[in-house]
Amino acid sequence: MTVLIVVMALAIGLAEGLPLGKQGQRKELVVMSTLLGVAFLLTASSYLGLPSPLLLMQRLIEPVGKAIFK
Amino acid sequence: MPEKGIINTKQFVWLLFVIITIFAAMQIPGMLIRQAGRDAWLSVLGAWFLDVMLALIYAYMGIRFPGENFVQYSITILGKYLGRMVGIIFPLFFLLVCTLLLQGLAQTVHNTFLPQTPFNVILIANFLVCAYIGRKGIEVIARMTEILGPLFLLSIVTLSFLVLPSFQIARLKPQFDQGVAPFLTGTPILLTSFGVCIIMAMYIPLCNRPENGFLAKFSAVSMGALVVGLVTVLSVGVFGNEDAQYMFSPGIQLAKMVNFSNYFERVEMIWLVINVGSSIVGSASLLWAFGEGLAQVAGLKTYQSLIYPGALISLVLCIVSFPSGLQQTAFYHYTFPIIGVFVETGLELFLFAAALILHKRGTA
Repeated sequence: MTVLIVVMALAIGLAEGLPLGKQGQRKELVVMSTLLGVAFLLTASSYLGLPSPLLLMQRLIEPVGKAIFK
Repeated sequence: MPEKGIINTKQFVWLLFVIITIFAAMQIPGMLIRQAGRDAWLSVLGAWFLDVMLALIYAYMGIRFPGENFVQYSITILGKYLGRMVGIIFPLFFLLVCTLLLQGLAQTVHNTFLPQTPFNVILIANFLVCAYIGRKGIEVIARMTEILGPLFLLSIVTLSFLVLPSFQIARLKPQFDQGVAPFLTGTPILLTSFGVCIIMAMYIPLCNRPENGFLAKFSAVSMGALVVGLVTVLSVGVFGNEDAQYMFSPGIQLAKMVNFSNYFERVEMIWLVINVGSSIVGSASLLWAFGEGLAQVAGLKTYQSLIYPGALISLVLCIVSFPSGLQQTAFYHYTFPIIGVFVETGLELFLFAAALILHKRGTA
């Protein structure tokens, strides 16, 4: 799955990045690359056994939720 | 503004309706029944009332800051840096909702339609379609909801009539057998799902008649509450409180009960097709809101290039955070309502109070 995500990130980067580069939209290119980088980091951190941001939020908030809801 | 499209009030209503209903019609009735038991229908009424009150604030802010959505008026109210820090929470919230919704949808499709197909294949297909639609812009999404929204509403009303013979009102009694606490704690669970239509603040500046924002939200939430109320009441009345609370999607179980003699069976597929279509369009709308919001925070000219990367992040979050449907349900039940209350109510009330105290108004 990790390989597939990396391939998808590269494909999106090429498909979206090349036109942005040609049009000189540097800011758009930087934000888009950052998002792809975040997707890659999330995949890599999962591969290394690190928890995802949603799991961290869950660990933090779930005890409160369990105290309120059944 | 990166989005150049314009929507009319009717499209505004259906956009909101689809988002409210898809989010609420899949897992929520089961969770609500688990929380509030036979009083679940009262929680629907409570959530409807509170959400309409919240809509007043969103509509007022839409008029006070004409032509601006909440990402933009966060910056107007709080300044360039703090405003951007607050404003970015909204697009991230939409991405989270999109993640939860598509995970739930993939789970439903996997359980009902395609049990042999690997779960991740369904998930990836969902994300690709959503991103494709989201990239086309708000006008395309709005036109799709104009078709799917009425179909969805009609399908639920028809379904309700068809399962009515199995409905036993005695299963709804007694009311308040455990006091008012279950009904009161059930209300925030549903309110946070209805509250996803804070996305209205993204639509108001694009509506050809922004003053109709409250009317649109009121109509959409009322229809949404009707749909969720019908599914909840019928689920308790048909299956009983004890069984309905453990169902992943009581609506589908209701649809499964419908058949016309032996020649017309599996009617639930029709309902499910409409449900899947609406969910895809609703998720596309959330992805669009993420892209549009983030583009405004970052000061970009276009948002289209952010849709596919956003969808990829959402997909990765689904895969790494919720390897099974149970984990997603636990997150949705115990964690999401608290995040939802913070963003949908707390953050907007904070902006509302800050605008009043600092005497900030839109300039358009």
